[in-house]
Amino acid sequence: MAYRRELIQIRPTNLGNGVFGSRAGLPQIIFEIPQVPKICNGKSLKISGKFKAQASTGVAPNNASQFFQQVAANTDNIVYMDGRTGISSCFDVVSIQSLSNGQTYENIKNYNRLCSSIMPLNESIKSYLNGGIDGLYGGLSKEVSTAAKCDKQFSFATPLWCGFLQGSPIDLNLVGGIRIVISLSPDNFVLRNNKWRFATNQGGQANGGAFYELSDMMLTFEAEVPDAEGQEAMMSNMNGAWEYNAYSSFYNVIQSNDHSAILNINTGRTIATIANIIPSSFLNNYNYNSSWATQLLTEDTAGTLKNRITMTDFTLTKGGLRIPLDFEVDSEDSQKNGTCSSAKNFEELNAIRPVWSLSNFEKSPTTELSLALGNVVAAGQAQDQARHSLQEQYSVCLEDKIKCDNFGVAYDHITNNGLNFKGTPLGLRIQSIAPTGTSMKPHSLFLYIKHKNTIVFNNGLVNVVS
Amino acid sequence: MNKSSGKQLPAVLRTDVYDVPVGQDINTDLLYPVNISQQGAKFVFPRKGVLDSNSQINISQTCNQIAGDETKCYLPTSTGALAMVRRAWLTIGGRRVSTLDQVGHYNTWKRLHFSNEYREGVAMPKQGGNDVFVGSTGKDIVAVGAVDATSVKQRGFLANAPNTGAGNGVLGRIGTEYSKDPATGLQRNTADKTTDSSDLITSNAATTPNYAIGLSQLIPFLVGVQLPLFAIAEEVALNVEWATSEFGHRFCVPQAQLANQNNIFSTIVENDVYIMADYMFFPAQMETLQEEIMEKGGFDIPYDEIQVQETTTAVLTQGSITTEIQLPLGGKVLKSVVVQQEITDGADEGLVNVGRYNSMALRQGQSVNLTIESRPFYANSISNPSLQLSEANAIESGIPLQLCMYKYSWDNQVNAFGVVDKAGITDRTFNGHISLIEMGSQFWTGVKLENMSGRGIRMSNLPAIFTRRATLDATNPDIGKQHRLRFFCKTARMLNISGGIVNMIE
Repeated sequence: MAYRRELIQIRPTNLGNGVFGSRAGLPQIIFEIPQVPKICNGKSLKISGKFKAQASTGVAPNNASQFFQQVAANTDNIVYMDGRTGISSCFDVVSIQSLSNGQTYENIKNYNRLCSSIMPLNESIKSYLNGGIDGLYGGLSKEVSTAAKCDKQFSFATPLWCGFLQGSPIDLNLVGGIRIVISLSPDNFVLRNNKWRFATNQGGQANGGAFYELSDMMLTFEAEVPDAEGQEAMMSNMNGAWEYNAYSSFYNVIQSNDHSAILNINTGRTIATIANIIPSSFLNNYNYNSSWATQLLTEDTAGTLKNRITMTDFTLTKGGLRIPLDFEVDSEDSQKNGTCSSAKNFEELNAIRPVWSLSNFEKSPTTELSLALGNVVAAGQAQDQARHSLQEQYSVCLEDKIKCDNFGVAYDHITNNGLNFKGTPLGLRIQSIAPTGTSMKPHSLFLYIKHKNTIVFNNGLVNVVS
Repeated sequence: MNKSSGKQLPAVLRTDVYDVPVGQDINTDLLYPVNISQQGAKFVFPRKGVLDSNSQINISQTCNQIAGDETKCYLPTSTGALAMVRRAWLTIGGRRVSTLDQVGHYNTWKRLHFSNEYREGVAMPKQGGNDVFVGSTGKDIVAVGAVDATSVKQRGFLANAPNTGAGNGVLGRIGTEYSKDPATGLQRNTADKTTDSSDLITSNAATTPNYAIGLSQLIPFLVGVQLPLFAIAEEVALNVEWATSEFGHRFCVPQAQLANQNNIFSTIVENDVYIMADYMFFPAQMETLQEEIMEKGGFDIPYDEIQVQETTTAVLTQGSITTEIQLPLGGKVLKSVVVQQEITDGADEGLVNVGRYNSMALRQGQSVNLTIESRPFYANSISNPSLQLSEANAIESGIPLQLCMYKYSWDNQVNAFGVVDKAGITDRTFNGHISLIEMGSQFWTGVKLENMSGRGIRMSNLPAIFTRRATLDATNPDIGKQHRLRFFCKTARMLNISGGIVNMIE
């Protein structure tokens, strides 16, 4: 059977006037890929278009000339997006369904927060700045560079990091075509001002707030098209089974120094768990970056959540037993000493990609040791002082001094078949010590389970088995 | 009629990982050319062992002095030492097996796929050049007395005019913040970055830098193939033709020498041209290999050949423009087409710092398509520059182009009329030349035609047609410019080595 490469280009079904976004009245984008005898290379699938940020005054932002100014000429015009996730921060929910019968193959809530974890584990600062990443994902990792890019409309062609697409090639005829529904994030999730740097810079909130628009949207992917004989064979095939990976998302709120969560994830072949944390007040707030993956934070003297709460232990269980790690991941000493927590970092880096094949990631001592220590005095440091402070001189070639923190563990990198969590819930325990005199503010915990699904096709009927 | 043996190369004659441990010896020789001149060189390989395709050719050049001073010329930043070679071809028994025209241009495309880490750690020390960009800020240095908290955060550079490349968040070469003061030898804040002294081309053969180029960079046939020299009865020769000895071709001229650029010429240091050839021996397998090749059907070697075609387009004018170029590829199996859009002018020197090795984007964007067998490959011509980048990324086995979008296109940097209103690249200088000149200077597009298993499309007598469409407003600075469109068409070839003879099958 001979195959020919083709690039399939699909416009949104709900095109409207071509502009998507909350302010444009179209916060959802729907793409429908027809049921045709072609093989879709999901890894090549790109959502392309143009992104435009608008300041609350309805004009283009003016970050490039005022980013480092404590008292900017017009703080309302200092708004920009997250550099590590880029355009992916605009996608709140991504749902992949069968076009012919509506069966859901994968539904990722808080897709943008999943990207906060997995994208910095895929790219280094060098690939963000000079690796073509900004041309595709829209972000440059460094806040000042991403902010400058947001001053004007720019193009993007970003992949979707859904397990369904990132696995093996997809028989579009067998899956009955695909409908991809993308619900867009709120404007104040995607855009933020510069308050983190300068307390007085709290612009972007007047007149309904700064907003973003996506236009010229198109879905493209590489397809393998068989010859006539092959197409006929594909069309006559109504039965089969196909395995793919999928992410399931869970949400939790941390309100105590000893947080436990029991989740009935009910997945038969669980490959990995990855989670990230952010103060709940940072979410959907122009004053903060909603895409950050911080650790637990407490207030500094100005009342801003900037000081870290010492993490002591992190434990994962399966049905009450410590599985896959039969020990607590202890960070207490390293946190008290103001050094990186190696064991925790190792497990986190190993969660999605095997650590032995990991070469590019956005994690370094400058990101890990960037939060002020509160009233804990690290060795050789003054009280409250972070080893790598955002307030210091701008670094041209290192990562921004912003925490890139995850909790994660891989269950099975050898057979990739995972552990069975059916009937045995996943347990998560995070222990911490808040500095004396401080209280724990609510933090949002976004937890994602990467697991294997099987679709069984039987004479046109589709059944998804997880 | 030439026949295929149907036998693929064994693992030891490929560059893949071996299936099982294989005992081997390696013998490294210096192989000097059998003849060499300022036009080119010819190397003849001895009939021994298996030639490692990662063997290196050593090469260097000098540039004449002006008024008794060194000119401080340097290699094109994204091409490096490959800029010294125009053409290379491999002959076996006097027949050309594989040819690469425009070695410098094609290897610029290839080098742009090197990771930034590889470029900094391997390519730049080995082959020169300087094309890793990082975060940066404006050019003008804050006076000592005016230093404040803001300027400290900006690394001491003023950053308030984004349209000139001096805004916050622009990108530039590493080192412009703390380059060396040539007078004192100390580090200092300066707006200019000069090529490191070890990479400056001198007039003295003893002090000018030497570089090493892999044979597989010169000859695409050697990508993935270890040539069994011991089993080829005919002469195996590598021929190299040097690039034109002028600026923009082999070297670039610093800003301070622009007035003298037509009086600076490069000379290849003939004594420094040799191959560091690695010959491999597999004691346990040599006999079997020899028997297979000399007495049986031998081995088939599928490989890719790069066919180069170039056309100079008409001068760009205001309004809608359509450029259509025919690519006659009848009978060939076409796997991909890479399109370079080199800017040309009367002097033909291209851009400072980059030389002729550029692919200049149009400021107001353009759409591209490739018509094959009277059918456009893209249902809608592709105009989104990010999608154009994504398609170009698909060509080299999915390895993406490693360069910032500001160098790839003018997107996000110009207004609706093509005039720069927010530069993404710093206005700091490199060898005296303002870095802004590199905006949109590496706009390589292309179409991947091969399928997932690497099979291309058999072309009929109908030529493929490349189409470029754009609209230029009256104020667009592109008006009056001209491009040389260069097409690198990757085609599938196959040869057979048997009985000590090499036969072309495809």
